[in-house]
Amino acid sequence: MCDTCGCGNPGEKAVIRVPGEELINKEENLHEHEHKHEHEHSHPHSHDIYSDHHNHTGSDHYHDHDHSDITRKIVTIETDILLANNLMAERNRGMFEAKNLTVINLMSSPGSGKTILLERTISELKDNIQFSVIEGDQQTMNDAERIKKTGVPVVQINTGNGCHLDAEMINRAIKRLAPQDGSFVMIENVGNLVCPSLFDLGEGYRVVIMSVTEGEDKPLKYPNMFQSTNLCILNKCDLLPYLDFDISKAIEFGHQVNPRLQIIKLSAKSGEGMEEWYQWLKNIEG
Amino acid sequence: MHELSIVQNIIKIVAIEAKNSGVERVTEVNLEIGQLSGIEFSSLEFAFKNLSPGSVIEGAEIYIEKPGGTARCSKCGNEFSIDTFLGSCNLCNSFDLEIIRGKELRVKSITIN
Repeated sequence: MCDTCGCGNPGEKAVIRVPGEELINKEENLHEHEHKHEHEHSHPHSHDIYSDHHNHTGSDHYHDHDHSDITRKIVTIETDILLANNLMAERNRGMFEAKNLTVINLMSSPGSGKTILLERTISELKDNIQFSVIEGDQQTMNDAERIKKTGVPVVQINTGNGCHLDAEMINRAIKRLAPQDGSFVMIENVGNLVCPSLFDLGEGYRVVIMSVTEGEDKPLKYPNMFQSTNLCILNKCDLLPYLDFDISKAIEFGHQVNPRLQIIKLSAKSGEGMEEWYQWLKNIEG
Repeated sequence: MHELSIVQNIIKIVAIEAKNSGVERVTEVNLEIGQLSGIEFSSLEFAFKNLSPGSVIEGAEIYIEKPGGTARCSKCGNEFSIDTFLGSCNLCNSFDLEIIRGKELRVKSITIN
């Protein structure tokens, strides 16, 4: 989000780099502001189209305004607000299919262990499966640097202050990444359980990672996310003996929100349960 | 705060239609945003306040229809109102529900002078 006006411009602001690449054109990240401050702000309010009464959200006052202007014309649009993103996501999906790529969108709250899960998975499977990775974070190349050490291609998307990846960023990043036909592309989304759920990237599968150091009611608190995912990984299970986390409750809540949700318990640190995750990956391989 | 992206998309869609109609500003924008669409309406209002100035919707009235949620039970076919993704069928208690209304995110129309 731009700190001048509060506007986020994720598609235009995101910076895509490979590890070691300098930021050469910082101006690219700036966008123009035309701010006048002597104007009326528009504001949402409900409206009765048959009368002149309307009700402003967040305030109790009513007043009339004139809609009798005979020159006014209503233009029907009926367009999905996310149409541009959804169309780009479908273009991505077509490209992924043509190249026989298996693309996984990994989402979670910050600190649930997405990057360590990727590091271990890639290190243990890279002799059998070709991986490449798109890392999404607001700032820093840290995660891309970690993935680079595993020896697979990686690009980092820095969203600036954007809270999610969108289909246009993936379209640009995948061209930089140039993944081999028939390989796996792992997209590590920005750590956030809210916004990424709304933005289709063109991925084949959505995986949400939840760690046992979080509350078991995460699926109830963030139902949009859990409803739209194929698989939930419960990470950090090696810590269960030291925590009050009720794993059966977490699974029950997950299934309340999404009865088809598959759940795998593992620890990316100790390695327990990783075999089941690897089996899941092998099962979905395009 | 994906509401900022949502408002940016709304402005883009409206700008294209305004251009097609040969106007620089619109006077009304009619939206349909379902109550299960994942939009926080107060954040949306904040985003409108910040993104409208200088745009095609500056000064425009923003009207939002907010359809509530309707679910259909995948087991017994019962249709009923819901206000969250949580909950079970009020006839057979199944959690296997399909959301058939409430996730709308549409620009319905604009009014121009």
